[in-house]
Amino acid sequence: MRKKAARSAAVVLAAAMTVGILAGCGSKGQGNEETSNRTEDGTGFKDYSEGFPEEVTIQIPVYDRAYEGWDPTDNYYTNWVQTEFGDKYNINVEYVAIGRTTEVQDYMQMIAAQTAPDIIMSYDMPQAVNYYNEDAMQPLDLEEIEYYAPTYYANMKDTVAQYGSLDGENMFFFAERNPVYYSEITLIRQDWLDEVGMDMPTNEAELEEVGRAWKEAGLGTLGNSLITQSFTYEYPYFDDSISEEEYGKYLDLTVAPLTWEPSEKYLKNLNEEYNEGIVDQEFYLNAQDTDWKADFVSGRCGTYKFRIGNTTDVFDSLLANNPDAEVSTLDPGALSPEGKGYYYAYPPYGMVMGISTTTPAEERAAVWMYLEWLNQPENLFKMQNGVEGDNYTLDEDGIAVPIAGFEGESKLSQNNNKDYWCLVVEDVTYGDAEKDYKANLRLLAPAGYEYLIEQAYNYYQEDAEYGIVTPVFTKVIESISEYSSDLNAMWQEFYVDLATCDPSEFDAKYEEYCQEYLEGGYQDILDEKQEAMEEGSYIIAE
Amino acid sequence: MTAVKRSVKGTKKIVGRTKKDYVITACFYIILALVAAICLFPFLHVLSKSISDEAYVIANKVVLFPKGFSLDAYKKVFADSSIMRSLYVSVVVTVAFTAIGMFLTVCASYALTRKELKGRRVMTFLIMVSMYFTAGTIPDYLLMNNLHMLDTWWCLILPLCFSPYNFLIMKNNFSSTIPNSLIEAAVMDGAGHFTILARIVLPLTKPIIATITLFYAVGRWNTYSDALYYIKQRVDLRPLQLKLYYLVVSAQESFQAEGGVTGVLTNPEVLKAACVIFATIPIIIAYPFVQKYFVQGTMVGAVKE
Amino acid sequence: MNIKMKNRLYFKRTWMLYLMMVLPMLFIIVFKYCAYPGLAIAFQDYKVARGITGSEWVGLEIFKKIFTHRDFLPSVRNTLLLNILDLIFSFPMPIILALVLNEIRCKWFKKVTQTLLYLPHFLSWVIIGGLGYQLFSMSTGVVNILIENAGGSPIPFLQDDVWWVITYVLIGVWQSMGWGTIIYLAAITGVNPELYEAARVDGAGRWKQCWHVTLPGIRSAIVTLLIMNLGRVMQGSFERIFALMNAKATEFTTTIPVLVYRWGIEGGKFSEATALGLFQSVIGLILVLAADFVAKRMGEEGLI
Repeated sequence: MRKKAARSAAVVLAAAMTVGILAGCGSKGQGNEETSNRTEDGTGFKDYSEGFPEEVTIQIPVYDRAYEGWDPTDNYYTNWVQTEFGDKYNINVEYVAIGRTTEVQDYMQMIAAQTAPDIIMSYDMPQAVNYYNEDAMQPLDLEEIEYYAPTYYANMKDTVAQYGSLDGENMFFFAERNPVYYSEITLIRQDWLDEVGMDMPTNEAELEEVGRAWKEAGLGTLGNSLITQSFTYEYPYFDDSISEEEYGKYLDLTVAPLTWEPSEKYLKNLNEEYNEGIVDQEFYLNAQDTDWKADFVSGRCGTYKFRIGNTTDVFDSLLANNPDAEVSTLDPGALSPEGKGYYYAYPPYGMVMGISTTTPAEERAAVWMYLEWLNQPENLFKMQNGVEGDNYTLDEDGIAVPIAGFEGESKLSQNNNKDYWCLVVEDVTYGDAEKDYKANLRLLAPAGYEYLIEQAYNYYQEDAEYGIVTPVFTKVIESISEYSSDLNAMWQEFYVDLATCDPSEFDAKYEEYCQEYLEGGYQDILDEKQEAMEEGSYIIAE
Repeated sequence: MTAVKRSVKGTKKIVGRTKKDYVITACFYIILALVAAICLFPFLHVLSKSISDEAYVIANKVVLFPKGFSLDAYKKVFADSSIMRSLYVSVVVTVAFTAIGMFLTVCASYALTRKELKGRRVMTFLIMVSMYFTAGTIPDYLLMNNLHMLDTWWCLILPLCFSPYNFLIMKNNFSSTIPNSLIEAAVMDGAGHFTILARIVLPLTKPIIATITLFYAVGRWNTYSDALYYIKQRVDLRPLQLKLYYLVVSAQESFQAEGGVTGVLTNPEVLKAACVIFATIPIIIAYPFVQKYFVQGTMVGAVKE
Repeated sequence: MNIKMKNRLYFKRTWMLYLMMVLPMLFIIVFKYCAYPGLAIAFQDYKVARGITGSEWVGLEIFKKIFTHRDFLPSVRNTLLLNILDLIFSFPMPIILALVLNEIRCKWFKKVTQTLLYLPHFLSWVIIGGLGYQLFSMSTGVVNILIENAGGSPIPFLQDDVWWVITYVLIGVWQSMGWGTIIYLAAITGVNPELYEAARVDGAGRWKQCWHVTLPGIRSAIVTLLIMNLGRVMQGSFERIFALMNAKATEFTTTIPVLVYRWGIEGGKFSEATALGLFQSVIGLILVLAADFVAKRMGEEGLI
């Protein structure tokens, strides 16, 4: 009986495995579609300006931020794209929702299922490189882009030429970026400053003075939150002595440079502030923006760093909880020992994109045509601002003034449709710095708080020289994707311990953690970067 | 049935209650009341948040009682067609899932408790293995892809609908509650197994049937991790809990590299709370319908008759 | 001849049973076993775009890598620790609650408390985690404020490693106990009331009835659940730990589900995540079979 049972179990198992293997291997093969849009003689490109002979479906990714009441794949604007652009060229434009918080996972899955949208995109260069590393992207023919998307290409060709190649092949194309550095600001409670009779701090020592005074007066602490990604905490601790090479080795949004001197300075300082009790004693529990916001709004802490926009709920909530609250923009220099507001300077590109390996030639051409269409000023303007008279009115400078509370059919998404137009530009721009600033005053601040933007703008003007651009490697640094998730976990553990430990233990602990961090893979990353730099496979932007 | 009632009534007559008994009973009541209160607490918390003033919720000041009052969030929820669509998806999926799952589980549990079925140990073993030996997210995903079930209704209904866990519980219950003699007698009388299952076994095992039905329904209603993987492109197939997951989790963004003009605005906290309540109420309502089957035993009468 | 007759009779009496098993077995094979070939990626340098057929085979490289990883052993230890604590504290609670509920005669009270007890089960861990922080934070947490008002000093529920484990386990007990009672209540209804009557006639009081009638009545349910749970001590809910972990108390939070998430979802290292999952599965299977074997030896019915 036993034997029999075992035998039949084996048979059933074997059968199951066979069925499974058949199912597993039965994945569809690639069709042998055309791979080039060049004409037979190879000199020019096929002309699709009258539309494609047969309907072509392109899949355009769009971030889904789960805004309540907003369907990113089916709304007034997606329909508008279809009728204005798609129908004209016999193109069916499909939007594919990519969860903003699950983007990598979403993309990886679709790549695995061979259903990735035609454009594979990421805001982070290292992540884009990862997709390339997974063989998910196809090399690009720049002349093809130029032919089908002349306006777009004219705009971006220098950037594409400089940053778009990996291991000698053209892989990426980009959205343009005209960085706005005064939208990420730190608020400080002006009424608290007044109460303790102090001026706006201009360097770290002064900020700590403020913290002490607040503590004494029983007001609250300096705010802070847990750093888990996009590592730029060390910038205020830079100085002139740091070489380009050092920047190349250590600057990285995805891996924290724990062992670097500015990091040590940052951590040591945080440790002192923590032990003195002038910084939020549970800052490490603020893992999300809402946590720090809660502290600020409720009056537990007096500073709050965030990305400001005219729809923000911070001010109303702050006033509801603290009717006398007043806020100012903190001088970015106040985070730096020397009062120099070093900051993360953006490269000249926004979104980094590639074309999926599964995309055949005609669809690729259609994608270029879509970018070209989106790049036309009137189309872009409508995508960014909506319908004149409904969504906005134009002021005397030609700047769109949003009509508050518009809820009609052509309502924009909560971030002004950015997730559609981010494929070509990263910021709304009128092509004129002064106009942009005027427009931004309205876009960035709720009515009555424009002065915050003004302050931020002035600080930025003062500190403009301190922007540091992260060098970009033109070959894959494999060890980053290998170790970054582990290093990230280590970083959080180490840095919180370093920040909260007894000051006397700091040095010993720091050394120990650095050693562990290096052994945990950071040394490999540094070595690989060093090697790449020696080969000259990296770019430093001016 | 009548026998049960009689015996329950009989209880009070036979055993006179002592003072000590009353004290113990009182203790039980108090303990249960306390525990129940603690269990109610988080629900009250979310409920209070959902009707409070946004400013206080953002400040994390709402713990147990609402601060301020507004039903705007609920109005928004009910006005949002995509949330209503998700509710529809969840209801359809849950009903279909539970029905199919119960059918399979009852069949398997009954058949595998019958000693005359050859290979039942092997089959039980195979089912049990599949519970502990899981392939993992990626292989499961690849399988769904090969079966062409991604972004369909089926991927929410079929893959999980025969649960080895529920099966083992039900099988155990069947084998310990149904007297073998009863079934053998029926077989002798020439009754088919489907008839026996429907006429004899099911009426006898109402409590476990109710329990497992509840497990299936609640399990399906609350699970979103499979939908998170399998439903990507068909936004209209997002079940309610997945929708909720996106609403709640989308707050957690702070992307440095994502500069630009437009501020990052997340969904209002009050709205999220309202959605949580909205997504939870329907399945909680299902419970009282099942509850009555736990109140009394069904066994005695049947055996006697 | 006789045998043939016997066979025919056997077939006539049992074919419906086999028919009943067709669909369930089909479901198991198609949706579970057919996914097993995908485990191949644990032996590959898996590249998503290339698929299983196009990726390079690396033998046991991946396993070597994960077994020597600095977080591997701690994560095994932590997974075992947290799950065994769960077994000790979370497992018996529903049984006790079910027995207590069984003693309640007041129907409306019973109904209401039962319903309330289930509520935590319906809230996702994200929500519970958020609430947990609001309650247990050192400076602003309601619980600590109460403790301070009562003259105590605040307790680092979330910051201290040991306290964190306690908090984690207690929240788990609280979340699961009500829901867990359902199975036992269902089993209790199956207990033959005549047994109670007989016990009463024998002069058994409440405790004795509970001990000699109710408990034996639900014993096989308890054993079944215990065996099933033993098989799960290498698993665990990622959502639960993720919702409760923080960067300060990290000693016990790195568990296998956390590693699977970190590698598979955050790091995109699918081979590593799958290999770790495979390891988990093998251990789980061994444990459950061992538990089942022991249970049978002790005269229980067991799972199989």
